[in-house]
Amino acid sequence: MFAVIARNKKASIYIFALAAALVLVSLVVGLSATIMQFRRNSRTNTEIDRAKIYAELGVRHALYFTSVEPNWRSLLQSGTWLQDIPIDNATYTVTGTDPDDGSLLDGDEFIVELSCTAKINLTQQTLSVLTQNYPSELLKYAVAADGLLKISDRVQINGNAFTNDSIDKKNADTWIFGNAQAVGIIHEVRNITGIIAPGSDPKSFPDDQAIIDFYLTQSTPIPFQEHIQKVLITPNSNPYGPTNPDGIYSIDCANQRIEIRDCRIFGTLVLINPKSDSTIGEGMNWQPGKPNLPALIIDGPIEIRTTINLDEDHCDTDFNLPHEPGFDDNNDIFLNKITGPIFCRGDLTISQRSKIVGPVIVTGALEVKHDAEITADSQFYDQPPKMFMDSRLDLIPHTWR
Amino acid sequence: MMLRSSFQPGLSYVEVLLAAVILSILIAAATQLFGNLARSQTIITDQDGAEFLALEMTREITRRYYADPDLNRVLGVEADEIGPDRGLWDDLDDYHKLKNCPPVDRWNTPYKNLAHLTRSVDVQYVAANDFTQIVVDDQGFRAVTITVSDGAKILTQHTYVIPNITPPYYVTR
Repeated sequence: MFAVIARNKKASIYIFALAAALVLVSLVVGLSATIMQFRRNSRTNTEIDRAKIYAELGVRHALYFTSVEPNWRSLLQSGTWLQDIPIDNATYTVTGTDPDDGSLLDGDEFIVELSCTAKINLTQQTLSVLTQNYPSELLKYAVAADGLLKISDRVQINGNAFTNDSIDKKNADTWIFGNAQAVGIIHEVRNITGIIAPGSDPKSFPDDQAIIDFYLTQSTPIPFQEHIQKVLITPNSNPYGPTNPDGIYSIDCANQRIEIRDCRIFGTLVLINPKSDSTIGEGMNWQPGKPNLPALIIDGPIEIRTTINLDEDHCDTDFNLPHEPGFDDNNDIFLNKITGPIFCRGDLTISQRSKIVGPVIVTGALEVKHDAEITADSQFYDQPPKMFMDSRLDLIPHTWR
Repeated sequence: MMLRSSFQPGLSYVEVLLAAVILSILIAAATQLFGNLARSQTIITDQDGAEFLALEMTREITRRYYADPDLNRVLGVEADEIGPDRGLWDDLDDYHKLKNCPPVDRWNTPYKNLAHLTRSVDVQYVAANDFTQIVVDDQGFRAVTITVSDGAKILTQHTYVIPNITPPYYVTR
């Protein structure tokens, strides 16, 4: 009996030691596990944050592509644009889709959804955003040329001037009341009231083929006339054929000389392939038939050289619209003025006393000389003509998810 | 009676000694383990602090312009951006070669408890078709590398590649 009691008491010290060991080991293991779990969570949270940043940068990568490749809509298909791009220890994949019909080819005004999935180790994050094309920044300028911009004599540019080439400004009495920006050099910097910026970043121009194709499609053809003069052209008046409800008319010059003079045009003219000595001159009073249309689209070279106000008496023509005062008499004088965007694929010369309000956008060289005056008007950016859009995509605010 | 006294109940010296040895070993091991845990907790705190500093700088930099929006730009901090803090810095290359110890936020306030860490930033042009390739000319992409270290020991290093979207794409129109 005593021996049994003694053995039990002997065992109790081992049990106590073992129990203490167990408690200690459990404590240590538990603490280690807690710390490791905390560490894992912390690392995962960091990876989630980093993956979100990579996903956002992936979207930027896709936006960048649209900014440097104007033809991205025809080069890319709806679907994956960038596949497993590696950066650091992460990768990202970007998709671009048209949420409406799945096709990217149906025009600049359609929304594109960009979605980027970034992966770091086992962590994956996806961000999506809606994007669209915005009006071309060049609509804010008075003059914008992809080629050389020559300004001379007593020219007055009221607004900013930009060229992807150089600005060749001659004679001290030539003014730019705004910024002068050129990717190349600016020759002669006197009388520039704003920032003078040679070496500027290049800018992309609207898609010239898309503009010409679109407005040709919308236009009513006028048979080629060597001289278009002393006529009123509006959505309701076309002396050369049927009318167009938007006042958009096109003339295929087939490389022949055309002269347009002493006209009042309340519409849009699309001139295709004029011979290089073609002119728009004398008295011209011109504005688009609708606020969000251009005044003139030219596929080829031409010179605008208006000189005088448009005088009904001198032209022996009534240029008034039926609802305007002065209709049915020849006593009115209309200002020598072209209002509305002018887009030229080719070289354009503006001379004499031409007065233009609105951006003049030229894909070739632009020469402005003599007493010509060109004034920027922001309304053409606020109400941009169709197809005068930046080719690049930009975000629609508040659409991240 | 004598026989009974030779089986006296209780613990022998050997038994007590053994138990004491076991407990001593356990306590010594536990002390070391707790010490290690405390040390690793310090390392973890530094590591987390380093990740925080890297992410905080990333968020600051990715909100800046790719290149200075002013037309008369120079590489690095422009003359009109020099100030007591980074409040006037507006483009990526303003951050090139930035090195802070102790690390400070945009308004020059040091981060408490992380004063012993060093945060540095490096900005390089990278090739458009290979982001690991550093180039001298601008191909539209800049790699920003943010390093946080404790003395010579690098705690974390993040690299992000930022494309040239100008003006910043996030500006609400």
